[in-house]
Amino acid sequence: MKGSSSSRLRDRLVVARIACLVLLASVTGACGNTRKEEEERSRHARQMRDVARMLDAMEASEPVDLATIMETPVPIPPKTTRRVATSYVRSEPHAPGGRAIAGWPFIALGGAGTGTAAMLLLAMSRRRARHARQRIVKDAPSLASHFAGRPPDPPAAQAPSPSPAWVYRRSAYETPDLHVTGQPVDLLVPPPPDAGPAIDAPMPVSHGSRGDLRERLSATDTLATLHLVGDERFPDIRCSGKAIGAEQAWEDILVAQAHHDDEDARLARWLLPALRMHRARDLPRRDAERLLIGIEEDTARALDGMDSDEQPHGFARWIRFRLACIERLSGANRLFASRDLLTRLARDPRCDHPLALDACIDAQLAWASWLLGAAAAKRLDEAERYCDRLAAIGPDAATRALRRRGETWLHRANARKPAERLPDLERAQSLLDDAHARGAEAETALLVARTAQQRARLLTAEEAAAACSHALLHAFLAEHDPAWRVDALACRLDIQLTYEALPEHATEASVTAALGRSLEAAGPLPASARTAVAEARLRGGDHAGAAAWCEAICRTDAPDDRVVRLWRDACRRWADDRDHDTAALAQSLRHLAIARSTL
Amino acid sequence: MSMKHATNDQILPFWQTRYGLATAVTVNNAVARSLQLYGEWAEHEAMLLSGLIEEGQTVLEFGGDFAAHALWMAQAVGPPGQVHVAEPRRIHFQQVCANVAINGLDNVFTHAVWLGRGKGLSSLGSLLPGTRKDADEKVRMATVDSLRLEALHLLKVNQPNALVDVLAGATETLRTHRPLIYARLSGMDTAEAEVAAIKALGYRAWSHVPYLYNADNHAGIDANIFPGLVQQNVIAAPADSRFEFAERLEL
Repeated sequence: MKGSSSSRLRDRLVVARIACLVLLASVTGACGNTRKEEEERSRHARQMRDVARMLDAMEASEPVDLATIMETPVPIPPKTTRRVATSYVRSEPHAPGGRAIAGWPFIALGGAGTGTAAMLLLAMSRRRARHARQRIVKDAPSLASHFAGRPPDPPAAQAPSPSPAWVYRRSAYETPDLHVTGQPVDLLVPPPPDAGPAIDAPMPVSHGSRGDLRERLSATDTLATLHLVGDERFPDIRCSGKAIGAEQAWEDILVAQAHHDDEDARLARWLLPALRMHRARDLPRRDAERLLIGIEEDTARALDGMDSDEQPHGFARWIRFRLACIERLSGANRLFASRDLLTRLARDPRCDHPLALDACIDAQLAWASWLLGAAAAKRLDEAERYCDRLAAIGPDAATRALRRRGETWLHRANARKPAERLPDLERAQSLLDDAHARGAEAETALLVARTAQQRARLLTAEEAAAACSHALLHAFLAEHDPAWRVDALACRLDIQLTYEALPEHATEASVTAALGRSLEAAGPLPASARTAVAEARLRGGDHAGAAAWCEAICRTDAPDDRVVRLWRDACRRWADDRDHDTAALAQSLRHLAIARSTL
Repeated sequence: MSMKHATNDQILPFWQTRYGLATAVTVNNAVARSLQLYGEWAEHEAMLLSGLIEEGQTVLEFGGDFAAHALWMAQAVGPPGQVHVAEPRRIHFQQVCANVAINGLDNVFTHAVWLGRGKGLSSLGSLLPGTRKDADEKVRMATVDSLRLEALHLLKVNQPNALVDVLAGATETLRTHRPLIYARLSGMDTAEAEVAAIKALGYRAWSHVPYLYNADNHAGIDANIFPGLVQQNVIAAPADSRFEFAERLEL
């Protein structure tokens, strides 16, 4: 009600103002150039100024803001009366012409009519502008409420504010909101293990469930992240992603089965330590250390009770378990433990078996990966000596030795400067191609694909395209094996990205995006696959998303040069995006700096 | 043997650190506090350097840090290798010797000298700006070249405000052995000159900025007494060597 009566009052005031102005304009327009007329005009101008002041005083009860006041024409004390009149009445921009038309009543009447219309338009536009400004004032963020003694009334019941209050307007020069960026020090620690996937895992199969153990395990892992690979009787568990829920379900099944006295029970007892080893990777360091050492010691003790058929498998597995323990150690302790293990193995006669030799190569390659420069090269030389021993055992072992030798050359290449890698990669390619030709395994096919893809980055465009084709063929071959599907998909994505980066090769955004989506849909991914997804997102223009993927990789896995470079590129392009989230970008840049400096 | 405990260090004289026993007369500096609380000091340095040091190599460290790093480096180079530690301050030098002795490290050689560009005696205050008057003492000066090392694979400079002079006094040794150099930069005023001095010797240099706090510390302590603190370090390798720290910022 109050609002509507105020509105009516404003309407009357506007009408009164219009009438006054019309009267003044008519009189002014009809004035002659005599001195008397000038005095008359001056008097009218004063009258009009008084009227305007009166109107302003009457309107003072209405809410106004500073901008409105500033824009209202303020009558200036005249030097000459004519100037007063022309300066106030804006509808007469050519006021000197008024003198020329003075004495022509009809024209004066016409001028008065025009002045009337102009005055009407002026008044209406002023009124609309004032209302618009009032709306802006009401909508704009204001500090006034923070100074009120009580909470402000809801908008519907709120009375018009008696004063304009301060209005905060954003400026390009204001300090960014960086003071709200969370913790002052973020060491990029990994987030706590996500217990979420457990809900996706089916309930464990009961003790008396029927069916083959392998089938039951396979049926449990809906995301197909855990796979049995290798020997039929003594398989190993391969994890192609982070399978927290599936691991728990598998352990329940294996624990239930292990108490029986059949082949499935033996298999369950064989698999349980390997599964627990995988689970230890998600535990905090001290818990993991305890668990790993316990498993390793149990495995070493169990070796004595194994028959001659089982013992080579058990011994090779013990080496790999010991290696997993060493991997968790820090700094120099890892160096000492690696040295100790390899010294022991060099003296152990059980290392003459192909399985043990293969595990020894794993140990040498792992140790080499923790070293730099000449120290790493020395370990790779040792790994090749084990390959020689393996190759001498027989045809099957020779095929295996070829592949392992190819891996050592891949390691050698990666230890060199990028520009010097090609000869080592060529050697690795030759060895791996040969190994794959002799025994087509998914793992070997994937190594062939990876090597070819790395070569493609260093070759000329034409040769690189051929290398990409070679890589793609083998990635497709590897993808057929469920245990290697995710890695093969990630490899395909890398190949695609490499191919698209070649000069004169069109970008196929749809293929890249589709591969990225397939990978993301494949469930929790290993770091290499996540890096490929991040790059796909970056190429697809999702710069913020790419940066987020890179940050997640750095938090949960050891970041490498490629991830850091991707993250930096993503942030650079993100900064060029229009309307980007400045605070989020600043946070990401800060975390990038931390990740890079603490590599 | 009784062990020092973080909350009762008056009674127990030794700390069980990650790489052996250690002790310090006072815990009025960051190194001793870290050894006492976390059982380690600047572990991120050890993580990087342990990938570089091999059995049988020779390491020279200037700035003893209570032998915190000499303990692991002595094991890393093994019996055929050597670790030389130069520590000019009298009490600090004695503590280095004590920690080396109680761990039975017979491949560690200690030198009570300030490694610089010349020989003679000097006051610590003139070498180390900001030294308190009551901590000032006369120190003996020597050059790296004067140590006449038969081999050198890593030169590690922990002592601030010393790197440029150390390098100036090591011209012959560096030319002969071409070791890796790992140094803690002294600060904003001197960092540029220090890096330039390294590069002038035909080295490539990369930045290493490790946090002082290690979340995986030996004692498993969650409290961070070095919140947000990092060291500004540099690792350098001869330009013609095979070292490539691709992921690090090259200086």
